[in-house]
Amino acid sequence: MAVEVETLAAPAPEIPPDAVRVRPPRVTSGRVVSNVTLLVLGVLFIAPLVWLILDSVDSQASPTLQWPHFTFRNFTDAANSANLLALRNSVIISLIAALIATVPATLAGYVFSRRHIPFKGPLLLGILMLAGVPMSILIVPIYQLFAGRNFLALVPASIFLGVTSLPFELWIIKNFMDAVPIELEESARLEQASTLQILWRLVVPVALPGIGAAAIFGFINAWGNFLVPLVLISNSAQQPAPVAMYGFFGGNVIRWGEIASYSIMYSIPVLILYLALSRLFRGGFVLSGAIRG
Amino acid sequence: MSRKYTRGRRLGVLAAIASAVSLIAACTGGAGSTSSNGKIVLRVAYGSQFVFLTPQLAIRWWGTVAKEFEKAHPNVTVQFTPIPGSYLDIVNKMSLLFRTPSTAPDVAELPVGQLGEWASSGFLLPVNKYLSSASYWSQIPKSVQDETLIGGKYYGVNHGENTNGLWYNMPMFRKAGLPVPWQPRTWADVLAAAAKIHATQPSVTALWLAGGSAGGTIAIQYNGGNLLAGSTNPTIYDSKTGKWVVDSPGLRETLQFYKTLAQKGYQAPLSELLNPNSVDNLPGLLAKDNTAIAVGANFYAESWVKSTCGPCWLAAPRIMGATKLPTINGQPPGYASSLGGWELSIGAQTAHAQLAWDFIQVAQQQTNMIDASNWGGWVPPSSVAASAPAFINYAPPYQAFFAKLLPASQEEPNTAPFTVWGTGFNNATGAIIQNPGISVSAAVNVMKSYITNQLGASKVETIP
Amino acid sequence: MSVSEFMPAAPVPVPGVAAMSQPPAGRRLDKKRFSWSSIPLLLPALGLLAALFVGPVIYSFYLGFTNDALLGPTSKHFNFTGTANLNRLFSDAVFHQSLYLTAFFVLGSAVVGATLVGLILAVAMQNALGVARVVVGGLVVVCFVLPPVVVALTWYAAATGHGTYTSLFGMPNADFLQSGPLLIVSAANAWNLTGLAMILFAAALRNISGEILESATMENANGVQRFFRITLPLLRPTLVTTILLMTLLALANFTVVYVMTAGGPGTSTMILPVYSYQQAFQYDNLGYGALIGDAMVILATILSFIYVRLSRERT
Repeated sequence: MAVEVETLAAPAPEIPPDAVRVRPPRVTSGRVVSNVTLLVLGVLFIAPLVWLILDSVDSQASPTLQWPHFTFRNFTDAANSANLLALRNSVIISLIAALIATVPATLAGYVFSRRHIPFKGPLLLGILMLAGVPMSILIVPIYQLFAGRNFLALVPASIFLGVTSLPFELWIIKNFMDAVPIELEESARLEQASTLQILWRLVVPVALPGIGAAAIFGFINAWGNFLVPLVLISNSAQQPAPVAMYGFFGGNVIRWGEIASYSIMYSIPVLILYLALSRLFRGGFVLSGAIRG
Repeated sequence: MSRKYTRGRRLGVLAAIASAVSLIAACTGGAGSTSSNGKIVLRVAYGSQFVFLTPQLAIRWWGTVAKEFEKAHPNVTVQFTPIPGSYLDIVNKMSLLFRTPSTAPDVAELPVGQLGEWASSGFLLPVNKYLSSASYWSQIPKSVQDETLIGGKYYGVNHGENTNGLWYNMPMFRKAGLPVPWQPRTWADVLAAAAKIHATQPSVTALWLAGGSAGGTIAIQYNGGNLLAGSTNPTIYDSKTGKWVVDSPGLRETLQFYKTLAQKGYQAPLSELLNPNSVDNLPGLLAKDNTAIAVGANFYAESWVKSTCGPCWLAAPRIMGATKLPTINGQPPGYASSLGGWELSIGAQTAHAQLAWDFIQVAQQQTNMIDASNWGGWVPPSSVAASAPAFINYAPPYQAFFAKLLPASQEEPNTAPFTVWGTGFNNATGAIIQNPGISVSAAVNVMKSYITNQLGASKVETIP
Repeated sequence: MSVSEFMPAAPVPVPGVAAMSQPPAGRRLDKKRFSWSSIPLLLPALGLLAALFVGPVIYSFYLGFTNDALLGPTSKHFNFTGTANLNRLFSDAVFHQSLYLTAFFVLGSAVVGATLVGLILAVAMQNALGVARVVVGGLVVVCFVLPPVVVALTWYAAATGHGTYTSLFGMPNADFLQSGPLLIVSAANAWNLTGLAMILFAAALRNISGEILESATMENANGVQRFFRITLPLLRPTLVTTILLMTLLALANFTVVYVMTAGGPGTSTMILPVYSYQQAFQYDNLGYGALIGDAMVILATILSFIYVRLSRERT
């Protein structure tokens, strides 16, 4: 019996049994158009990245596109101990932020999806509204709040960053959980399973793609943030990579080569995270979709 | 009560505890706590990436000063708050630090640019009574001392200054048949030289002068501000009426200068001029040997030496000459330069005012002052330090030259609305650079309407 | 309290298999009743939001009606100024321009840019070679995970003189960033966000039952007809979700625009978040900057409200 699932943005828990592997004929106009489209868009997308890669190995790097004077010095210069420390701080900050955002969002998302609570509609709307609040108006009250309590350090700043991702994550996870059929739980409830059990053993595994997507979002949000650590962290040994990046814009000197190489180093952890997680749940990501044909 | 209800309750307790614990745990990461071994803690805040020519030089200089100070005061530990980021980030973070008593620094390195605002906030301690013990104070020219003078009180001591002039490429000048060394007497002379360069070597940039809003108001002192200072009406803020000048013959002359550059093709490529880092890119551009004349600052000299390498250009003294930017008609004082720089202040809420002053004294001691100037790209405020061999020989022959410009350099207003005025000015110069066809009146209107919109009609005036 | 109390009385059933070994007991599931066990689940999220988010937002709303400044006489002691800031807002020409610019930016980069391109990519991938799918898909996702500062810098280099795009389009001396700043920053933002849209659409497309599409092919519906008559309507919920997500992300995007142009040249890219930052942190008018930020929050609320309404209309 195929399970009819209303999807908003969620993959089905399993491929519907009646789904047919459509193998289109070798060359059709449709295929040609698709491939050409992909090619054109692919070129447009990679264009800016080409500069980044070329500049990172250029000893005379500049903002213009030029054939590089090859060197690896940019990487060795950029990878000094202070900058590597900053990368490590970025990892810690983003992990904490992702955790602080995702775990409460999962718990609360379950309630918003399944349970009845008074004023659910307005509450959800209010949370969505928070997702649109700009960082700049939050920063001063938060600074004063944290400064007064000696919280001007890495962990509190990470927690704050996590909280700023919470509304989005809650909303994403709630939508994914909406797609999980309620029948799954009803049988468990009849077996006297506790809420935590149901959540942990049934709902979360099924909604894992959504939770994973939300977690990645929270991680990326924290990873790229410059303003919050700049304002909320006073110890320079705790500053993350975006702030260290500014070190390459000295008072009168801009070291483009190091900027490019550091940018690449700075992008790699996120890429690894993304690749790792995308293998984990094969439902909703296009890379694995490609493997399945 | 059903079993589920009890479980739910316990779950709730756990969750609440977990949330609270995470917040409390954050406590342990707090910075700025007082020293545990009984020593007095002196908090010093400075810009870590933007102020000195490289972040490493900043760490080196401040470290040296702190070591010397701690040696003389064994019961005191210096606790640094280095502030990363650019100029704006430093100002913002400093103001946040000062706003909260628990983080307010005892000593702060502040830009001269907005000192009026700092003073009116009540964040800084007037240092008048300490100045008599400062041997270097009398060696600082009056106009430079006045940078920190607000309402009869001095709110800090000058740390390092920037002056500006004309940089010119000597081989290119010789090729165009222009005199080397070059000393133009009026703006017409400058434009005539640019015309000759353009005629004989059309592929180079004849006269480099940045503008536009990308560089921010901090860039004005390095480009258009110098021209305004040399025009018929250098006034930006009329202290007699309390209004900001949005239209004057001087402003029009400055904008006309920009227009001439743009229309006659003397100006540099747009991507160089309108670049947010135009000022910082110039040392590199000059080293590429395709710019004939540039309005620029003293710190390029220090950028080219081996210790900074921004970029390394050891051949510079043979190629680049430096001369004064003349006033428009050669009127006294004969040359124009904007004045800017950094200074050291004491926090108003400090519990250790005398110690803070002692720290500043160490920082201002001649060797340290010269090191700061060499590594920060400044001219030392003290004329004695500015003529010392350690400074002069660091990047010859430029250091001596730019130090000579110090006495008659003009400071820009240091009150809050200057950032608005500056943005308006930048919008006007940017408009001309991008669209040389517009009239000077139209450009003035861009400036006038923006500033009037932001400050209000009662705060602006026109000099006829 | 011991661990055993968390163990269920009976083994947890495998998903999909109903083991009805006991008569139904406990709460009725067909009635909407508030359950107290919801509270501990809600507490972490709502607690964190209340303490660290809602509180500051309310305080910022209050700040919007004061003359608080970062520096200057009203930094330590500021007063409530009533509607003074509001009056200024209504007569502020730059604010009005900012509203239009923000609308263009959001529509351009989020709705048209990221969503449309993401959809095109996802659809094209259905029919393309495996190699193309993996390479291009991976590439687009890389652009999504890049941090905003890197995005800003690479686009700055690409769109200015002798950069990648200017060279690509055969105009190496042009400076696209100066000639079309709003277009360029919108393109940069779209470039950054497209990866997320593509992922969401690809996931949704996989769930469109192959049977429906096959029967449509049998009835001689061609590709275009299949797409517009079947696929697109089925994608509608995802479309609405994605557009809203992209919109909110674009609204919040301050870093890319600020690093690339700082709102310039002049005020041609002064979108609301940048204007708010400029007022608060460049001109030190914390009060006025906060008010502009409040305007953004209201804008986001209106858009969220529209979304909730749209997603309720289920076909």
